[in-house]
Amino acid sequence: MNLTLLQSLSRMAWRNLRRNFRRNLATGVAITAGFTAFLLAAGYASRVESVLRYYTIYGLRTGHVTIQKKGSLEMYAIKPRLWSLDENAQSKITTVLATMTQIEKSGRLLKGQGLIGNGCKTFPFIATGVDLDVEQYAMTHPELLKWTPHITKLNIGRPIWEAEANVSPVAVSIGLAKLLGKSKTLDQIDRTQKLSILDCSMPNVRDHFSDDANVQLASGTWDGQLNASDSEMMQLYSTGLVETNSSSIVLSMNQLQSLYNTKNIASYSVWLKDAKDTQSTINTLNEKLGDFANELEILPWNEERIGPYYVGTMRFIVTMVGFIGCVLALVIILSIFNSATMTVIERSEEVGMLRSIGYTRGLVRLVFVLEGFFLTVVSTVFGIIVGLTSMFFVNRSGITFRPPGVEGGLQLILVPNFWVMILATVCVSSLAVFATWIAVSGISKKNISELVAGTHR
Amino acid sequence: MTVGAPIVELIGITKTYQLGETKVEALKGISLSLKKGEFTAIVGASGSGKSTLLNMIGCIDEPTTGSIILDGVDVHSLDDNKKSDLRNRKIGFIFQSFNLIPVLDVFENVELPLLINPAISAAERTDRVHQAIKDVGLGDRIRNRPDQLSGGQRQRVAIARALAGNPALVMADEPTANLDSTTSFKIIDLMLDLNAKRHVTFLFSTHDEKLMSKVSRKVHIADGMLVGASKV
Repeated sequence: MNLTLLQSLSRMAWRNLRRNFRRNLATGVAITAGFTAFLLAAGYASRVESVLRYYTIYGLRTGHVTIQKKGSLEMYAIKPRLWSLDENAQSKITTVLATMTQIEKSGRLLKGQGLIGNGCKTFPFIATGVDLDVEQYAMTHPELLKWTPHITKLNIGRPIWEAEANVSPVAVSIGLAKLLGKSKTLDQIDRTQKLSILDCSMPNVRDHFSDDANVQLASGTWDGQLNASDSEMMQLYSTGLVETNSSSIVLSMNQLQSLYNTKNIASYSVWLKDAKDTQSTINTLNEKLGDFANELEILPWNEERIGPYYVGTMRFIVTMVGFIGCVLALVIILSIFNSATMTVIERSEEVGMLRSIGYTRGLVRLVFVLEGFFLTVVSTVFGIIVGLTSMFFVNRSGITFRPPGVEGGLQLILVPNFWVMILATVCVSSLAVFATWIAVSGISKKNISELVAGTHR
Repeated sequence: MTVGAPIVELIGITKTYQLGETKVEALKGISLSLKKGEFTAIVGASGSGKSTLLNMIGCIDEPTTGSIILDGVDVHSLDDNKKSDLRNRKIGFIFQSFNLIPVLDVFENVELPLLINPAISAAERTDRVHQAIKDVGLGDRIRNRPDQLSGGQRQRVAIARALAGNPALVMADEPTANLDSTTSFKIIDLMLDLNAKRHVTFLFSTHDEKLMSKVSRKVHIADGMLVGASKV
């Protein structure tokens, strides 16, 4: 087909949109509305995905890649000593990591449990031990601050990496601090005042829990002894999740290792300069670690066992948005099909004329398919404009909501995803072409003389 | 007007329609020859088979039996695309209800059949369209849309569209049926004029006795059979 013919048919198709203007307008508005709804749903999914992604990678200190002993994801909580990385393993891993230029930062993580007390009462904790430079890197990463302000804005006090050398700092989750009756961090109390031992039988003893920022950590060591240490509450922070907000603490790697009397760690977290390098980094690590890699599990951040919250939530959201997309696609197909069928029936004499003067069935179909295509493209462009405008106003309105399991309110921010827009436009246009093609193909096969005479009906 | 070699030859054409359980024989073994440059009218009452015969000759319907030779080509041997091609190159159609595309102007309507003929260059296409529009006397209406034209003018556009491809045969099924008598005569005069100027073969159907006086050859059809031919 030559370009001039395509131009002429396109011109005719474009002008034909003015015929049956009200029908085409109604179809176009239906497509625009459906497309807008899909973009808003996709905008919400995109926002949630970004929040969870950066929360997992930086907020949970998972990194883009994690390295742990094979089987430790299932067994570490039961027997950490056996399923952790010893100094020898750490040395081998550190040596390899130091050679890889795609890595922005790497660090050690230690996880464990124990009891935290205020002098009168103790509560169970789940601790994360992390090197302070790594903690600073992760917690101040621009992506984390950009996507999770609803979490980071809740932090009270100074971060633990700013602690003076003579302080054993601990960051305590807000819910746990509440249980402990401690509302003040180290900087908020009078540090000149000497620590006093509380009489727990006093009727108003709760009023004195916040007189100091001292907490006691107790745990069984990995070699079977009992150990305890004093720490100063430097910071109150939100984990962002109801599930963990009343049990989590963060402290330096040295403190936690000391509490468990070990030099072992649970895992390495590796942050990359470019997230796209995640899989290639895993491959390189496996290659460079040689036989030792067989004793390890090197996994990406979005592996279900590493980021179960991310994977589970996104699976649900993608399913929901996919379902909405399918329903809208069906509506669009039926709208276009209905409109095209009525148009073709009304214009059957025109089809007969075109066939009479030499237009093949394919060219006749093309005339109508171009109309459906143009109608859809115009409608989707309007859908994008309306969608972006709606997103702008929704984002400006400051609407907050509380997703299940998330601590605090989350502002409803819809993030336009341009790839989704392009993909959705291509899909919707393709569906429109398909629907029109189906609607037209029947009439283009009819007897030409009957079409011209209008006796085919 | 001199006439030449046969453009169309019909040999034993029959057409049978199945309407429910009833078979209707619309054409009953028609054999006919049309020569180049002839101006022929197919004459007959409604339901006599005029339109069916024109549809067969115009390759927009298939005969049940018999063969049609159009400009030396046996139409029966062609597939749908080749028939489309044949219609585009060899036949011009004029319809009773004009069948112009309302969103296209006069030029674009006339250009339609030429667009799908790759043998015609863009410059030649433009020349031919201009010439055809000029020949039908609508040179000053070239950018008008059909709804800005009278019925007679619309039929002139349809004639220009039929002529623009320089076909071997122009066919018209009751081209004046939707026109008043004055305009009808003007249209027939125009067709006669173009027949003389362009030496193009015209074949049209009508049951209007007044128009028949202007036609050089009349083919009478009744009950699907030729009942006689006359030359003026």
